[in-house]
Amino acid sequence: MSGTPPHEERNQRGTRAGREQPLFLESGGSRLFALLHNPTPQPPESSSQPPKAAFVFCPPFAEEEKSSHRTFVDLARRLCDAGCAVLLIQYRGCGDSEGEFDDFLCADWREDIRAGLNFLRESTRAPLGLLGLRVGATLAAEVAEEAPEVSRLVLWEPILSGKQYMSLNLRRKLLRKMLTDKEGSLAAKADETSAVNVVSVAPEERESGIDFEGYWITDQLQSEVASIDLLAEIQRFKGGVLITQISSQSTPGKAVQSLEGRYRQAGAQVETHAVVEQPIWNLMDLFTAESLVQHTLEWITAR
Amino acid sequence: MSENSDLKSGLKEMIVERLFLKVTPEEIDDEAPLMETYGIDSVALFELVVGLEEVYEITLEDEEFSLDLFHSVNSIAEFIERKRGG
Repeated sequence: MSGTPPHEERNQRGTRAGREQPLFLESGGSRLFALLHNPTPQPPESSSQPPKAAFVFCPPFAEEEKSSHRTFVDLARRLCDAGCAVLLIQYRGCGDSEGEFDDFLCADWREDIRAGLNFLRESTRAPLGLLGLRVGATLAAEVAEEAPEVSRLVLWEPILSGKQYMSLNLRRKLLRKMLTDKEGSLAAKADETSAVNVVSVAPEERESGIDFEGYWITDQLQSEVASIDLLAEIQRFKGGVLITQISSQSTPGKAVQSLEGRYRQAGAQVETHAVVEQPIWNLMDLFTAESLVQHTLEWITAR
Repeated sequence: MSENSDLKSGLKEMIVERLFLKVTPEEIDDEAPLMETYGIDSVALFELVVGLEEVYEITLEDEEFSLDLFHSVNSIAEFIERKRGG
């Protein structure tokens, strides 16, 4: 997965061992798990040389977090090698953090990102940044609007329309069911598995919502996500922004261009980049997103 | 080249590009079963649907979803022509 050859990877383990520190932060009264990639062997606050930058990494939503986790780790390690600190958080209800997934809303996860920022602000003297993927990118952009201490923002394939995002997820669920039914030698009839029906079928034992690949999306979370309109929310951020489109297309599409326009209007220094990579948030196989990681690394370290 | 042939050639290019297939568009047979031949899973199928909507400016309604639609280049081309009222 890493872009580093295996023998070099082994050689680096010794140096990484002291630089990767698991910790729990407090967010909303619960324990939030994070892994700090610290480029200096001492705690950041005691180092005479602060990191070049300190980033909170904001993972995407639900199952997408699992698929993209390794790419986040890969970039975090390479940034750390380049002298930047990275705090990779796991939202409450996810991974090793406290709580159940369906107990939380986007507002809680924004609070988690702010907890990560507070930690880095107090423990480093480095310029602060946020990096997110998909919904994580959207949450990062929303937090950055209200956090003047954030000077750099990296948005990988941000979700601009929550309504469209939910609709596409329902379609994916439908397609998956069709394939599963086929594999089970059952006739896959679209009229029996329409997205409308998928929405209306809820397990009796749980409150109303949708099952997205094992993650229960409550009605409240659905409506919160569906209300996302990122273009309308971008108004204030004036730092450096990198918007990265991840697809089979080598030129930025309309959505990315629209977001770029909004950031320019707000006074940000924005750059867009279209990277030809597979959708890292959907892949189950091991995958090296080398061009994505490399371009992002170069953008961050050039500042 | 007929309009139908153009459509199929464009479809093959889109399939190879969007699904990151390790074949050339010309290698895809019009009647080849796409799922079995290229191991298309739900993620790839989803990319295909998004590609069809973006490139051919059509909308797939929920009730139109079926695996038969995505069986081959021919079946997808027929669907596009039907959606276009051809």
